[in-house]
Amino acid sequence: MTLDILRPYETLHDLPAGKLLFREGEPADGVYVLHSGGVALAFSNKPMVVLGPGEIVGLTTVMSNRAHDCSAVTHGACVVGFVEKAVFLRLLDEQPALWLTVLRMISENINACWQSMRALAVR
Amino acid sequence: MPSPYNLEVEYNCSECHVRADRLFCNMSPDAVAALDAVKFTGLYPKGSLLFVEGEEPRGVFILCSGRAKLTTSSTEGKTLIVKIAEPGEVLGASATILGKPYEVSAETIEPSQLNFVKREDFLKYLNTHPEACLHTARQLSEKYHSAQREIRSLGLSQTTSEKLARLLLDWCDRGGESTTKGIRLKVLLTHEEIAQMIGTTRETVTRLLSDFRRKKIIDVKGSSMFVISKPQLEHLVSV
Repeated sequence: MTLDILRPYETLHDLPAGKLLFREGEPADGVYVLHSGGVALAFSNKPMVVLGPGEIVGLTTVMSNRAHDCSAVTHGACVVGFVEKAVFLRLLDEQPALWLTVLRMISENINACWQSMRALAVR
Repeated sequence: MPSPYNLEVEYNCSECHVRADRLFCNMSPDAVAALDAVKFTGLYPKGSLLFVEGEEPRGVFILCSGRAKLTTSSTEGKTLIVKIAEPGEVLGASATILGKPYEVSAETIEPSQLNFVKREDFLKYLNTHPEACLHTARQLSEKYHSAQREIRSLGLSQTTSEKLARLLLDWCDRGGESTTKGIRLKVLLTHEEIAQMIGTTRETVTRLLSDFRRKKIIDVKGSSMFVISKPQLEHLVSV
């Protein structure tokens, strides 16, 4: 399974470094598939993690139907594909194969968080 | 009817009266019946180790009642509580989905009812029930956001007193009860466990709580803590 399912529904953006994708507190209106470059997630204006190609930015926010709890800013030049929330959720309904990828991605994100917490705890 | 550990036990998910309030279990009757067919109900006393960090994933535990702590340990043996799991949470889902060792350990901190689903059964269940995928994704997303909050607290707090203040404020927001004496928090964690939640020592937690009491920020009566001055706690949190 692959994120190629999303490709026909993406609006591609070629972005320079420092471009804001979304701001902390804003409602999630869709997901950003990162094709190249990186996106930094910042909490209270402090960058905490940089996501790389193949990641979906804003995924957990869309899934939990909440406002963004961080801001996302391009980290260097990058290409992202934006998929509207309603379209993304409809695709999940229509293409169950997409679910496994989504669940795996969120699981990887959680594991990364727990590894960070372990590192922070032993400082 | 008497039951082990005085738990109110529900063996049949389809008849569970709190199912509608639970993020994962609130599914259609068909999906719940399918879950019933693959789950094993277990009753556990306080202190039961469900799985340990580094262990190959055997499956998921759905916490029906009680609470469990999720912990991770450094190679130096320092333990950090990454989350206190509440009823309705699915434990071990990320490892089970990824087929990678559990990243954390899970241990009950109260007598608990847990429904266990073997890994192969859970994956089959997800493959055949997209609705369960949605509920699992929501559940995992909430866990992710909760972990992010903890990282923010651990990473951005300048002092241990700030970390403790953040923890108490979080408890106020999530389960605090307004009373005439202040916001009442039912604290079932030991000072050692609170220390493990904010990455410090038991001695520091005891000292800081005494300090908060002296400054009339909190008061403690038995297992209840009263936050008398929430603004003072907020003042300690600089971020």
